[in-house]
Amino acid sequence: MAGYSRALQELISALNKLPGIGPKTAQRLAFYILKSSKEDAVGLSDSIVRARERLKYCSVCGSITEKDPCDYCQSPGRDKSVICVVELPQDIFVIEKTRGFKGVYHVLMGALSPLDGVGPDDLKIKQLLERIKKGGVKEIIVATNPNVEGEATAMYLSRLIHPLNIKVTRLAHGIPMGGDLEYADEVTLAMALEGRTEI
Amino acid sequence: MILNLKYIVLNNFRCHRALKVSFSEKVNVLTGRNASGKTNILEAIFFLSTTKSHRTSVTKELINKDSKNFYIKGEAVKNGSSLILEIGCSLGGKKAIKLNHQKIRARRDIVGQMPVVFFSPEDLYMVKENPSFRRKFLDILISQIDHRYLLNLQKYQKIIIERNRALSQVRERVLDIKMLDVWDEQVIGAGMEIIRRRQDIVSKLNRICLVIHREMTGGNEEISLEYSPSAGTEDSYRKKLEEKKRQEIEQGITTTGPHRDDVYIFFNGMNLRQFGSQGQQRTVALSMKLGELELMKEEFNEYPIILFDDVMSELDDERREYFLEILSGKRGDNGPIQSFITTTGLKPFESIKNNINIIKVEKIAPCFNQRDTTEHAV
Ligand SMILES: [Zn+2]
Repeated sequence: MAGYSRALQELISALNKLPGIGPKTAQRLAFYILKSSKEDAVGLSDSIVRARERLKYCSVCGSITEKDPCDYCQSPGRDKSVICVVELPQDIFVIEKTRGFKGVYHVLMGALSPLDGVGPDDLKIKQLLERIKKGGVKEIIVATNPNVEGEATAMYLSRLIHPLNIKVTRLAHGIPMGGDLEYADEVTLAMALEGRTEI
Repeated sequence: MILNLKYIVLNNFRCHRALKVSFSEKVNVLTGRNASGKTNILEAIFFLSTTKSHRTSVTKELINKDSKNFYIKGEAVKNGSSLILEIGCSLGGKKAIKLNHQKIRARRDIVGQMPVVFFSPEDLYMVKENPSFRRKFLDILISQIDHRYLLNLQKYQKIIIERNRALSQVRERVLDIKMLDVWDEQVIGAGMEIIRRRQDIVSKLNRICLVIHREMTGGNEEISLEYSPSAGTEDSYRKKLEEKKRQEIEQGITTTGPHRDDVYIFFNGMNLRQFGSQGQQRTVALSMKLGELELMKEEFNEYPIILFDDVMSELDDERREYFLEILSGKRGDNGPIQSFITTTGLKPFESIKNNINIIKVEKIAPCFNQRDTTEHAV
């Protein structure tokens, strides 16, 4: 990057910090932004700032929301006795698209992975147990990804929650094995919600 | 013939900078001096089929020394429709795979599309060397006939990596020992599935190889194969992990499971690795590969593509004829099998000389710039 002006260097290295963006792509994006109209560039920067300022994690479920608690947690049409546990906030959008689920959510913010140094204390598991202890919960649907880490997390949760006399189910079929929830299409996911099995 | 490979294109694959070879749907004989790159063509076909080399796991060895990546393309006709396979691979080991021009995400979507069996001088290792060679033999065979197996194998390997890390973290006291239970159960689930599938395949192989070996040795020699599993049931697996836990935490390594299993080969009732002569071991390796071939035929209802690297010269007249009869369709109820055979001379093919497609490899590509020295001497 030697030879670039300082402002350009800063833009490239900021973009480079984003996940999935390597130095080459960062460079391409930076030049694209410079080429675009000033309004577009300012619009992009404003929307980043706005999103960052207005959006927060719901203090109850961990979803991304503008008001706290979020719509899912506040809506009277939502069944608070069924909690669907997901790894990341974006997984909620995938399940919402199926329109088949009318319960509430809980975001773990990851999955167990010794390799990545993620243990139970690094996930929002304690918060989940606290929600359960407040009463009224009948079923926990574990919708972690169907990969190695997601399966281990599901088993851990099941062992933790079972003694509390609460039904724990796992999304059954439909999601491609080894796949991520984010990529599962809506039809397969709707089927998965139908056919969940107890664990 | 239901499946046949029409041509292959190689760019910067080992010594081949740019090469296209067309094949016949019967027996293709690749001739040429040593180091002319004959074996590399078979290796490329195997790679296209399995996304692995039969003789190295180091990607760098496969890339021409003047290049940073290689590309292989092959077009086959399968059940009347065209099947185009492409693999590109970079120095860092990154692979891009396409099936009929569509990019695919996982190995399992290509493995098994164009089944192959590869007979090579390296087969002897399977009989002589450590268990990893026998596990590799089974894994390549089963992966080609069963997608689930390959998927599960990859999953198992990932679980082992996670569990090993967890073991170390327990030793370092950053992870509660109770957390190992979750990983143990994952290991047991995936591990038992691998063990059961391997046991099933080995018992089928055993039945087939017994007959083949008797036939090849005129009834003088008898072999049997037996899978030696680390555990027979989920419960005994769990018990074994429990027994070894202390030691495994110390080492940070999972020491029991299908990644440590073996296949026992008995020769006239004795352990072949310890008692067999070199000649006997060679014949057994051949029987096992023929068993693989027949097993794949049972699974697919037709023979896979056959690759023969320099094996003909090692066979005596009787066994060579046995092979050539299978290939040219004179034995059994099938027609000719599409096969690819490397040889330095055409003499062994006298009996089927009118039915072979001869490809002179030095004419299409002189090959002296090998990076590695794995090309075996005669
Ligand atoms: Zn909420």
